Amino acid sequence: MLVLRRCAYLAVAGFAAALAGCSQAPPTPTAAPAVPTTAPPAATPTAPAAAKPAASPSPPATTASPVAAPSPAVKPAASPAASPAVVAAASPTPLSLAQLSAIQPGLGTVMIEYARRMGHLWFAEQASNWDLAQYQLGEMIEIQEVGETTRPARAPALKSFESSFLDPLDEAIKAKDKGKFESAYNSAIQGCNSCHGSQTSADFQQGFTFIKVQVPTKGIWDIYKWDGR
Amino acid sequence: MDRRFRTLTAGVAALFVGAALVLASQVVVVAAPPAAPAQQAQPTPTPLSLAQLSAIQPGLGTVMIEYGHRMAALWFAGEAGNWDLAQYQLGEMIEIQEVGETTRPARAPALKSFESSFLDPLDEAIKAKDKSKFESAYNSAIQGCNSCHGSQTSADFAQGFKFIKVQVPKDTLESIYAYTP
Repeated sequence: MLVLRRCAYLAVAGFAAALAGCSQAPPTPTAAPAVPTTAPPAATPTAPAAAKPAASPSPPATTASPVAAPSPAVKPAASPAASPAVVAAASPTPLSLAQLSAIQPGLGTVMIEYARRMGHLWFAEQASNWDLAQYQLGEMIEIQEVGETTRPARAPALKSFESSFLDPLDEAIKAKDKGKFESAYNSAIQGCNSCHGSQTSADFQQGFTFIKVQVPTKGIWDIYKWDGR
Repeated sequence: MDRRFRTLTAGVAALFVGAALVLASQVVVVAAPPAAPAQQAQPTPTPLSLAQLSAIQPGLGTVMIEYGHRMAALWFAGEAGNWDLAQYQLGEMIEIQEVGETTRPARAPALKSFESSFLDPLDEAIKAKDKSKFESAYNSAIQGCNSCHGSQTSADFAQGFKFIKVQVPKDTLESIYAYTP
């Protein structure tokens, strides 16, 4: 098939060349077929910019207070227009291993996907779409593993959550048992909240009890209970 | 026969051959899928090279999905008086912003400027648990988002990104997006 396509393109290119030849006296049989450029655009090994410390085994302190960078503390009215309009900022490739490590998703980012899938899981079961439920559960475990890698100090809690709450959900899904699923889901929601409460960080030594989830009602993000109570 | 005419004739013939081959290849394409076996999940070819890894890190577009999500969550946390959650969301916004500053360093000055101009006042309001100050700072930040979008350009969007409009969310996280231009 690929060969056929290439022949076709060559033929079309030939026609184009012929047309060009019509209007220009000596028909030069050039028409070099467009060579697919395999080489990527020259990777500019620039920017070993301030590399942050690599993913630390302990959960990094989320600096709540913005880092007072040596940026000109402009306090303009409504626009950061002080910054010039920048045209297409290209990624500095390749980044260093330290830079790459530092920008991998921590648990905060992982939990956005986790919560999203937890929300979907509920609606999948409500619709008796057991395959979708199974898929969402599998993806939860997969994204959880990212968090276990980037924040290894949280791994035991995550693994414990998995065996305590996701395994029963898995069983209920495999059995296509709605009653069992809903009971397991409710337990898992409680498990989420109690896990949030048990985890602390430098900025949140009281734990993350303020991140409360609930069985979603209308949309997937209803899973968040904003008042934290 | 005139050489030009001969060339044109050859060209037309080539076009027909080409068209036929294109059609043939399409037929093959149409016929192919049922024959293709269901594929098992292709494992990632590990290890990826630094260049490959670098190339697939989230750019600002991806970063902004989380940024928008947290910006909206920040509003609902503030409105519910859940100041710890508001503080958490703000911190996570700064953290994900730093990813964008690393992968798109040319955007970093604008991001840092946004942070000092709009997130710092939000931080102060949250720490003070001052709802009206929070709402005022939030409204300013929303304007700041839109004006920043307008100030940034790219090769594809030389006119800037002013078409990405946000607003104070109403009832859901997604309602932070104002779709009407």
